[in-house]
Amino acid sequence: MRGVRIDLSLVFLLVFLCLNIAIWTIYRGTQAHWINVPPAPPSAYARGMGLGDSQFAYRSYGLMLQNLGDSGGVTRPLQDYNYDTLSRWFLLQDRLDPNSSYIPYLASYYFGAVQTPESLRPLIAYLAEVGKREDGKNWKWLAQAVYLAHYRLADYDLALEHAQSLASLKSNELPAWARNMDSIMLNVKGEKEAAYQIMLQTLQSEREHMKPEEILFMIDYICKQILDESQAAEQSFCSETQDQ
Amino acid sequence: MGLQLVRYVLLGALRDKLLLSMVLIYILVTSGSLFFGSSAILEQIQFALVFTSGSLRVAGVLGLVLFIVFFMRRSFESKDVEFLLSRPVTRLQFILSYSGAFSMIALLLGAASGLILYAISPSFTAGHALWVLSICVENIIMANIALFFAMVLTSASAGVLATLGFYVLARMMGQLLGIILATQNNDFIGRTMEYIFQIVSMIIPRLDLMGQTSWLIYPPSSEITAGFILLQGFVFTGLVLSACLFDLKKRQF
Repeated sequence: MRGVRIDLSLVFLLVFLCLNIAIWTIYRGTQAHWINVPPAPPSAYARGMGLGDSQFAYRSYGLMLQNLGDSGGVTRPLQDYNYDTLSRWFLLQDRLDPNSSYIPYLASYYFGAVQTPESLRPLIAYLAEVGKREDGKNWKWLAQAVYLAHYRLADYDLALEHAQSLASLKSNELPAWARNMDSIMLNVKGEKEAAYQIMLQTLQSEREHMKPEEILFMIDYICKQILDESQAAEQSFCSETQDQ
Repeated sequence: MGLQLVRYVLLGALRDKLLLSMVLIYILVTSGSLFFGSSAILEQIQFALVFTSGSLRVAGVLGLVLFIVFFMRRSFESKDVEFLLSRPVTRLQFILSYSGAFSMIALLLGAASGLILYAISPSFTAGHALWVLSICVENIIMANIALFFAMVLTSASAGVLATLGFYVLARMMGQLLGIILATQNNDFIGRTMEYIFQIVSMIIPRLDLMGQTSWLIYPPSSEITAGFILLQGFVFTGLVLSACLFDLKKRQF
């Protein structure tokens, strides 16, 4: 009787094929576990991501932050993120490239939409820090901090604090509404007298340096937003500019 | 004879399909970078420029190093080098011809990177010019380092690994020196390591100061000039070629 010859290589192939199928059966529904926002590296080591190229590191980290939490076919809600750690990433990115608008934009319009307003505090602090730069070029991020503090977080004192910083920025690019943000915040807080005094003093002292449309904006705001109809009727500048 | 040697090396590059491979790699790298750049929610062109330039830089060095090390080792093993040195060519001419040919390929890859960036964003600022110049110089430096390691080390894999290790060290040198300056080691071992590292850094080019992708977006800082880039390229290439010549002169065939 002739013995049956078994091809061992074929046996091994079938065994390992079966093992692969077994592993696939067990783990096919398993996704990589999301560990939330990873800790930001110290700034001294951060450029290592780009092999010493800080801009490459900035863009790589930026794309990582944008897509954070959206992996393995699962999308995490914004409220699940750790905003303190996220804020440290943003500050690190600010050191890698202080001129780009990408990270402040991501913080304001993407992460700023978080469902839990209390998570916004670290973001607002970051936006305020970026916005307060002396050159005033980043004023819009400070305005965004005011907006988030006032309308999303409903922390009016914080909004007023940043609004005062915004109004004090020395920048020619600042539009009239941003220059008067402290008065606007005081007005919506109900402190109409304070808002009126600040705007009136600004009008009197800065009128010569202001553009006509800025002057009109301020008068219009005083007459229609701060003063009521009877108070506005007593002010000559309200009636003078009514038809303009 | 020198020009014939240069031609021999350049024909070797064509025969090894280096240029064709590099074209394919550049297409892949550029496509990938454009894809990643387009996924950004803002500043998409800036993302594409930075990713493409950063990736082309590394891809160019990788292609050069792999070609040069394997080409040189094959030349040694097939006795091509011995045959060429038996002809009326001095060892200095041999080194300079090989270095010249490799540097021409390095320049070609640098120029191709510049053209690709121009195709992505058709503007050519002073930052672009400085970037292309520094990539050409970096490629030349790395080509000569690959030549050096391929001559000194007898294994092609060891040559590639040594050259790439050197490249990573040169790219990270600024950061590593910054860490040494920022941290104060008071213990003996820590301070000794710092001194050793400072000495090593003397013969490592500062590639982190070259080819910065930020130059493609913002104006380059006045600290890094074309003069510095050319000077560093000249001084370091001179050092490496001298070392190559020293090694070749001591070598017995």
